[in-house]
Amino acid sequence: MKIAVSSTGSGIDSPVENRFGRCNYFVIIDENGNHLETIENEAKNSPHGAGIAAAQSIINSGAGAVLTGKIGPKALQPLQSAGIKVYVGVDGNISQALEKFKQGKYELAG
Amino acid sequence: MNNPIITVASGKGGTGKTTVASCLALSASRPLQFFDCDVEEPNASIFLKPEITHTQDVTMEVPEIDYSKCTLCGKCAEICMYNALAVTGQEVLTFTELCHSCGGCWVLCPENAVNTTDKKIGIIQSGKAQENIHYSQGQLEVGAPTTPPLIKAVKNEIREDLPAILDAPPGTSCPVVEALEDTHFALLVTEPTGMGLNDLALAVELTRVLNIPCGVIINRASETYDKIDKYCEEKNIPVLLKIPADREIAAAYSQGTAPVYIKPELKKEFQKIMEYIERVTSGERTGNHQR
Repeated sequence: MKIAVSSTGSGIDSPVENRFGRCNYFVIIDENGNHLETIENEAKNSPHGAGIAAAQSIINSGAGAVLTGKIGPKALQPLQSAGIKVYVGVDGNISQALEKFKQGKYELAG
Repeated sequence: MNNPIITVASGKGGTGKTTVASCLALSASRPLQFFDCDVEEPNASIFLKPEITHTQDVTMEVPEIDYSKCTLCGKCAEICMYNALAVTGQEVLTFTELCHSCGGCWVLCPENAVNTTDKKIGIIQSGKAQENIHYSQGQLEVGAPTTPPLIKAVKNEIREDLPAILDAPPGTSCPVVEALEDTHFALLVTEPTGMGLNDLALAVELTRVLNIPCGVIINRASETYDKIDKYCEEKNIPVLLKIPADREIAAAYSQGTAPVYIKPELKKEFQKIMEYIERVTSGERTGNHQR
């Protein structure tokens, strides 16, 4: 399964970004921690609806799960509709986040 | 007879747009129309006390998906610059509160699967104020995100056989552009402060871009601050009136009484401004406005 992590930087060692819609990058990894892809979040400077556009890019990426700090209701709706599991309260760097995710320490949004 | 459409605008909020627009209307010697285009907070009714006799809904077209045709191709979400659509593989989600009714999605959908539906964005209330003022105001629906479509609908009510006074929203962004567009004169209200001057300059720039002649009214005028006068002289903009910073005016204002009622001499000044605007907009520019 592809996991999309909202991130401040483009690399796999970057800190997780607390905000979903307005993060700089989505770093896509697999459950073994392999770095598959980095998507620049083009929606982050949208005056309105950044979360919706960011959610659309996650849907288009084929990810099955999202790890982020916080997510708004408008962004959550399309992700849930697409069957993507969204986990919130995520912090630390991306590899730490993946470890805690595998230990089941994060809760589902919504 | 010349029937100018006059927009009272300001740049800065709280300078006295509604006070000036109301005084201009209350001083007129002939019937006219008044449009409160500050649709987020229309309040000229406090001064003009209209009797509202007619209310109509204003709607905007937003997308509605026809799932018998939709292939979930994603084109609609891709082209929407307002992020009002998301395509999930299951459905197309529409966030109509973000929609600007640009029509992109229903024009470009390759399957012709985007229909439109009407969404209420506000109301227009109309009636008579005093004896000779045809009053209308827009009132934005709670939750409606943008005012320009409603301002446009309010302006659609303008009749050509009477002069019109438009009370614009504050600022210099889209709602003010919408209010000013296609009007004949901008009456810019400012106050003798640095912020008043700064925002007046922005409003003047806007009227120049829109190619609308303008004049300035300084409200709460002060003898000690002359930067507005200097700016207007430099830019060759007439200062049409200075309303003094006066305790009686302030007291009346706080009771919803327009200044022209307690300072009758102001009524004559506003009549002169109306005459000036009629002259300027009829093409007989006087060149040097002396006052």
